[in-house]
Amino acid sequence: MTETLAQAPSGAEEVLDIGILDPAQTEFYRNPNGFLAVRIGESDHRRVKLARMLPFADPDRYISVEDMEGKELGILRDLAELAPEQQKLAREELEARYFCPAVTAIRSIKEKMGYFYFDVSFGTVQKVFAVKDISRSIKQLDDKAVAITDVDGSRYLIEDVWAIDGKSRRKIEPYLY
Amino acid sequence: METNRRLSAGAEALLCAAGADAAELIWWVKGDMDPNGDFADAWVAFDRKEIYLVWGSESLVEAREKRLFSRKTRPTGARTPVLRAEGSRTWPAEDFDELKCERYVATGRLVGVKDGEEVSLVRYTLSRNAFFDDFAKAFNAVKKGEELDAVRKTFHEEPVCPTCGMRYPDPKRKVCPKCSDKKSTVRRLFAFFGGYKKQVAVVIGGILISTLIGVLTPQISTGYLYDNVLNADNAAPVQSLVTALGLVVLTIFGIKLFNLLFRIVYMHLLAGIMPWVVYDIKLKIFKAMQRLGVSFYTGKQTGSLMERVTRDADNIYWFFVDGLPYVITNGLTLIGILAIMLVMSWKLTLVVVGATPLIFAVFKVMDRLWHRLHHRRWVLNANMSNMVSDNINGARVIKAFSREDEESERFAVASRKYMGAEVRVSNTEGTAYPLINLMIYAVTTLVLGLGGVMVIREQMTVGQLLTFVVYMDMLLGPLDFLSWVSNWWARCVDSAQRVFEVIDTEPDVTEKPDAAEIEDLRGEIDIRELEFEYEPARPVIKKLDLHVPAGHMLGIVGKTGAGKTTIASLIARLYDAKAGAVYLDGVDIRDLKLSQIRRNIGVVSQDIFLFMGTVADNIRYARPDATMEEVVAAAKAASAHDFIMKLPDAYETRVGAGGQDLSGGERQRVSIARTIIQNPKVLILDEATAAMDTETERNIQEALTRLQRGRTTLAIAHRLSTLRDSDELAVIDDGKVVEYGTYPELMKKKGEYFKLYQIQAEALKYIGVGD
Repeated sequence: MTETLAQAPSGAEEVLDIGILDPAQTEFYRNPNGFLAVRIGESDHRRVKLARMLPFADPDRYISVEDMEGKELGILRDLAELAPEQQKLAREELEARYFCPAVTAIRSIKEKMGYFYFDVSFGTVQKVFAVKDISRSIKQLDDKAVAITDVDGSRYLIEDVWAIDGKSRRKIEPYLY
Repeated sequence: METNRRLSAGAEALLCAAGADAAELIWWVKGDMDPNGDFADAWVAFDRKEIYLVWGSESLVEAREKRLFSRKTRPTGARTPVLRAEGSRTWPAEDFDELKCERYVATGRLVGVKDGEEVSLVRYTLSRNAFFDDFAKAFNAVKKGEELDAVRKTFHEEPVCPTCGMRYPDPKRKVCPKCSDKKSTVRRLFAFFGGYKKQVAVVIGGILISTLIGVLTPQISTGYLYDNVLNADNAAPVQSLVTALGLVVLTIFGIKLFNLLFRIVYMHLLAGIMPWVVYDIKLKIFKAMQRLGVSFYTGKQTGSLMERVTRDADNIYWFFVDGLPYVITNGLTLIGILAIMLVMSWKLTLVVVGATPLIFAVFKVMDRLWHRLHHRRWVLNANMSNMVSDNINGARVIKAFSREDEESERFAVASRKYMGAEVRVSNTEGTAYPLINLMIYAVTTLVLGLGGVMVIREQMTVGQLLTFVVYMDMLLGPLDFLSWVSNWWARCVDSAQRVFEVIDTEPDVTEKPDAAEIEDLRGEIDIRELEFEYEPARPVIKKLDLHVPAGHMLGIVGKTGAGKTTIASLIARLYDAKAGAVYLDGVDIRDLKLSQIRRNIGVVSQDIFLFMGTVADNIRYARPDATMEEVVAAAKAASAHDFIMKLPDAYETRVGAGGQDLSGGERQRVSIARTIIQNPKVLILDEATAAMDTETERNIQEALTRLQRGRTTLAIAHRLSTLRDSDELAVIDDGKVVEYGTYPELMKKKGEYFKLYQIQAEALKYIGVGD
């Protein structure tokens, strides 16, 4: 059993290397079927996923690049380090995964049987969604931004509560802290 | 064609424009995104040749008609959906072997697969996830030549009200908050009082009389007093006036006393009925909860529902005790006073009635403002209290990292915010109340002025005028109350609705009416093509096959999240499979009596729950008629007897919430004893010793080995040493069996099990344990 012992995970130095990707060695492209793919150095990955480490606070930095099985290939420190074309590809993929439309006005918030029905506008589009457990579903990200998660897990963002009209703000205000 | 959902005419036209033949379409789904990922109305459909995607925007357009003598039009009220097509795409159906749904953080995607190559078809938001999953299932079934009807039974229904389109608060229960029959809820609520008809009649009678007295009192206390006793023109001698005054005062006092007594009696009666009614309600809820399946408790949607149920019963209680009597009193008072005022002077009443809606409206606006301000104050206060309790619980950590100053600052910020809200409440109150008072004062002054003129013209007496003003004052209370009580009532009905929802919920695991019972159960388990998911498009168990002969022990190993515990839950029928089945002695467990399954399948799991009660009660939980000898025998078999005897109260030690603290190992041994008493044919050990140290595990292992004798055992563990004695082993990964065989077979195969074995052996060596 001595030889198996030698294979045991050992190095603390491996733990410290969090696998930051070199932007110069990382090249995103679209595979023929339109999915995001990446070449990292020599290795080519035909389809990859991107995941944000700080989806609300810092959506453009610390992006994990994963293969389809969820194994992390590396971490991008900042999207801005990529070439503009590359950035566009990465952002499109992130946009698809973290779809989070911006609320521009709140028409009403009504409580019915323990659920809160939000009637809101996203620019020209109007939508009604239901929110359960309002104190956990409304997240105040900073002094301005507020994220709302509905019963299905869809997310909506109020980018700046002070920038939306006063009527809308007064409707959401009682639920902020 | 026949389907359980209708395709709107507009959508059908769009699909036809894209080349589809409506008669040939097999299945479709409505989406909510266009190919760019923007909100849109989209439809995806397939027939035997193609998959179609169309998108555009659907809006309800109100029909308008021309007005007479005007160039303007006016709405007719009729709405027709109008579809504006924006684009379409088709894919040949033969291009794909199968369709699948991918779930992302906040969206999903329908993906076509051909020879392992994936092609994106359309994206949608998570609210459409379940329906796209159904769509993929329908396509895959047709592709494989299966009957669509068979898979369609498992399809999801839209969780929206068909009448108004509003989403159901809980997709599993089809109760629309807007359209649900409030009347029937109220009727059912009042039905709880059915057994107390006499008392209720007395209470209502009491309220009526006491209100009547209250309304008539000013006639004597003001009218009679001013006109007949304190009248300056009164020529009667002082002596008799004083006597009359004394009589009036005594009468007023008597009336008040009488009224008070009445009130005490009916409030007493009411307080006597209400706890019984609430008791009935709570008992009903509790019984319903026992009947409901595990998914009801673990379901994300229902979690908060359960939390609220007791609060709901209290809501109902308080409305009936504190609200309803006052609704009747205030309503009657309002009507009574207005009637008396009308009789006294219809002219002055007109002034008051003119001002009433205004005052009512102001009260209503104020109530809404109050609600908003107080809610905000409440939210901020809750936030602050959370921070305090966070700090108390985390005191050690705060000190260890010397973060006292930062925590103080954090608290100061929260506290400042709360203070701001508090100031706003006070300021608003400070401004609003005087303003309201001023308004009321203005009306009173107006009435006094007009009334004064009438007195001078001898159209009414001073006493009458003063009585009138007193009545006016008496109007304010009921007006204020009635302006906000409707909200209270609405909350009470909401609560009642939730209560009835729980009572009415059908458990998702139900016994068939003709359920069978196997005599002499052997305990053979057969799992065939089992599929299960907690959430749509996230399968946990995928076509799993397993066989455990009666009396054998099967060890199940696998990574966290591989689906091991789910298998155990499915065997115990805590959930029903989505497809495939579990067979016990060759019979589908869904055809068996639930009581037989529960009696014959014992589960010892990692999280042990001991009920409030004594150790002995807990051991004989499954069979309350077990004798003391049996209890001790079980405890001894579970290696629990020794430690129980070391407790001062021995078998009478109280455990559970508020009772004696037992260690994890001790609790586990009690739970094993409980299972021994149950004497099940099938034993499921779900990570039973995972949280224990090696020494304790060894002790418990012995107890478990004794327990396993003569039983079919399914042992789930991540520590392989626990499964040494298994007859067969199965490695589960991603909801499937990836390896199956005896220990020597698997070690020889050098596959997944061997890999796991190696990793653990190395880990043990690494920390200096093992051989």
